Amino acid sequence: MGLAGLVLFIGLWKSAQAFGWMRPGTVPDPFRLPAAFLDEWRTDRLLPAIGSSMIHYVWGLGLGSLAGVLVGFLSATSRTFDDLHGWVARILRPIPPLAWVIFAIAWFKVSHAGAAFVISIGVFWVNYFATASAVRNLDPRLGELARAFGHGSFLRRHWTVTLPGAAPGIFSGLRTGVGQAWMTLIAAELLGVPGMGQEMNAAAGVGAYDAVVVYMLAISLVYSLSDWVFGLVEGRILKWRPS
Amino acid sequence: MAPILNAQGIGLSFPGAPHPVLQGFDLVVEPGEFVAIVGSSGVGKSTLLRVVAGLVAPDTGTVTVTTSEAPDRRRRAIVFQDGRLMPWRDLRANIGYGLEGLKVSAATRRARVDDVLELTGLSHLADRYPHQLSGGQIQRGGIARALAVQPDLLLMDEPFSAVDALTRESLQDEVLRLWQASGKAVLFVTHDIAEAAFLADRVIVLAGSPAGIVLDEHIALARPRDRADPALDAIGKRIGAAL
Repeated sequence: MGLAGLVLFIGLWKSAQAFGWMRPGTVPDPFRLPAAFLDEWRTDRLLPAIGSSMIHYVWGLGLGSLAGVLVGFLSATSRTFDDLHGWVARILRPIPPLAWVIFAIAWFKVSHAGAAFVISIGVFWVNYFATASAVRNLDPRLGELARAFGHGSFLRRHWTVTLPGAAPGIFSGLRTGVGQAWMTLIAAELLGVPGMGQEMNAAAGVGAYDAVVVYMLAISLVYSLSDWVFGLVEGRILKWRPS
Repeated sequence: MAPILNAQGIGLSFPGAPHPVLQGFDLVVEPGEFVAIVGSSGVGKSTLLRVVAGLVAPDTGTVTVTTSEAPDRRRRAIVFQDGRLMPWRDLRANIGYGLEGLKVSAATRRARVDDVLELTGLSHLADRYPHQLSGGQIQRGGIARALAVQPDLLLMDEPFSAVDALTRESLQDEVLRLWQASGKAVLFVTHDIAEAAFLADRVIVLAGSPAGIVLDEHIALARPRDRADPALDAIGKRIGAAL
């Protein structure tokens, strides 16, 4: 069935192109894609673009996740910290990550660090909220258990009970971040840093829409791969969950 | 011999409550004694147990638990009403929780966990996670976890109220067997009069607000006891009348 749906989709796409449903020249021919792919590959644009994007992706995702989990955890476990940062978080939260592009350029010039910075902001908020709410919603009876069996200190309690107890929620935040990072990545690269976003922009500039689609599919593939790998890791760490 | 538990002048109020839960409350438990505390729900018996366990600090009064000092044991251990095993640890790791942080080698820790697994008849389930266990098995796991730290005072908070009648009887027999084998003092909170009369050397009935001792009944019946013994019935009636 899934395959039939795919064939139907490509059929519709081909008709859109053949019968000119959109402005002429803006719908690439699906059957031309393999050639376009080979072209991007042979001219040595595809792989370097993916590689460059991965640098932004890994750094932005890594730093954003780490900071988000850390700050979210602190906000849920320390009253002082929660009170202290509450207003700052409320003010900064609604600012879209892409609005930070201006400062990314000002601070990091047009560089890998700038793109990673923009990506990390979106990832930060996702993880901040996921972790804070996972920790807040943890059964308080687990904290009592920790104290009853000699793990009452801040570190012992959170290490033995809070962290593993909140792990499913923290992981779902991390996984959302894995996807969220791709969303901002392309836009962040439009600021001129080499990567798939920039290649797409360049291809669109000369009307090579088939090349744009090649990059879109490349993004889809790399995202699916990273999500799959993440799922494996998550399944391993959370193997105790009833299936 | 000094009493194992000496609680004197315990007073405790919850913020916003019209009456204190406990006021000038005294309780003495001798070494090896099996004491049951009976009372209707909300009277404060679980709160009293938490004060004795050191989980809730009383506003006034002192709780003294006299045991021989030993860095490889805990003076008191608690069995919770809900079993409260950590879902992310298998049974073996759950039972070893209280041993982490004590001065015991990894080998000794393992041996002690094996011992209590054997003692509670859970050896064949050691690698299971809590969601793979029945209610009775989880409750036994909670008892095993408490026994593993070799406490001199075992605190039990309505441990069998959530299991079916058949399992409850077998768990009661098991607790008696473990108690007789170990010589530990047990403080057992329940709202089940028949359970208290069947298990305990001494039944303390709590009533009123703040809670006071309305009956302190020594039960001299020989062990093993028969649940159908009319003498137990008579004791049960006296406890019921006091309530």
